[in-house]
Amino acid sequence: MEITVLTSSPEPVYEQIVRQIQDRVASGELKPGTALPTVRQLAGDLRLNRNTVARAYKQLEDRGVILTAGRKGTFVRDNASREVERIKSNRAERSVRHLVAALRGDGLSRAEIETLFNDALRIAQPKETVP
Amino acid sequence: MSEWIDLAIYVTFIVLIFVLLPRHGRQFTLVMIADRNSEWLARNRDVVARLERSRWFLNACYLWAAISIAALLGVTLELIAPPFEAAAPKWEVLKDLNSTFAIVGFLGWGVCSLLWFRWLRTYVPPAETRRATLKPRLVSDYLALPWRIAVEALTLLHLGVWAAIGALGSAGGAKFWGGLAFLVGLSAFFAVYAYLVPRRRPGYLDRVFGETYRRSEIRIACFMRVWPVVAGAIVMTDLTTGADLRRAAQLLVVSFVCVLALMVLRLRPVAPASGATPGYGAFVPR
Repeated sequence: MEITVLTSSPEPVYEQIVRQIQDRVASGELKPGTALPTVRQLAGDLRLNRNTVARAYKQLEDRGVILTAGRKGTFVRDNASREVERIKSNRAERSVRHLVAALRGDGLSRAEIETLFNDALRIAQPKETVP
Repeated sequence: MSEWIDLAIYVTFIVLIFVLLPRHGRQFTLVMIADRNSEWLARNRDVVARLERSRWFLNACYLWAAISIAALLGVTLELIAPPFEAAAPKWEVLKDLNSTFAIVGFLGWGVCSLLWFRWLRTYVPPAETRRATLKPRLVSDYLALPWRIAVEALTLLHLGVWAAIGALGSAGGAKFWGGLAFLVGLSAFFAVYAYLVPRRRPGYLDRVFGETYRRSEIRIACFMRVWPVVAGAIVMTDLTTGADLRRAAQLLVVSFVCVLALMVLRLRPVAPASGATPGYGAFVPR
């Protein structure tokens, strides 16, 4: 199981790490109790500063996805997938609220916003059905 | 007559280190660039052509091997005067001569490696896309616990025996305590080395040879920890019986390096994806 970072991406590298670990937890690839590499190992392998990886791990720990057990190492928490779902759900909710507020600010009515959302969902639907 | 045995071991060592290893390593020059940044290599085909044509390092190694073997052969056949102490036995002259050639050769090799890595860092920018495994690397994945326990126990037992002999007064003096200090230092050095190997950052060799490379390295590092025990046995024999085992020790060390070189020569790059060109081509996008 690999992690890939793109240093030229506009998304900060530590966020790429956080996102990929969360995605793997959500998909079940990283099961509860699975050991993760040490900060030193991951930073070395990715040729990154240790602080970058440490920041990613800290954020994952704060979000309740991983657990650092001293010298024993870093592990995926028991309820990590639920936490990831909650994080994703919160993020989605925030994004939609921002978007709706922005559209309201542009003077669109509720019906127009609903139509736009339905159109967007219809366009996105074929992609979702691809296995 | 027995000097021919020394000569055979030294010639094998020289051929392995200064002929076969550089020849084997040459194929990885481009792999190293591709590993650092395959896009850059794909964009700079002129560099590929220039590096494929360049043979100066290989020729320099061959020349050094030829000079070393000629000198050793010349001394054995008494065609040339021993360059060191004339009164020393021939095996010792061969040993000193081989060590001198090897050290100078390694220094030259080291300088070339430094220049190569400097060139690589200066001209080839690291790739923007970087990959890493999410699996922690543990020694236990590469080396079974009983082996590790056996090595630790052997090391402790060995140093314990030395300490006990010193404490009981069976041996002593500056040579004994100096020998013990040397063995403690040597054991600590190899212990640190064995500790660091599984934790070190993966390099191009890991990506070229796959997991086999680190596994081999960890096993060699574990095996190296037995060396202080062998060295301790030699020094202890020298202290207690007065027997001169320097010749045997030297030949043993050289033979051990030959075995390591053979292990490196046996390493083969991991199979590239199906349909890809073998060699560095597999690592370079077309």
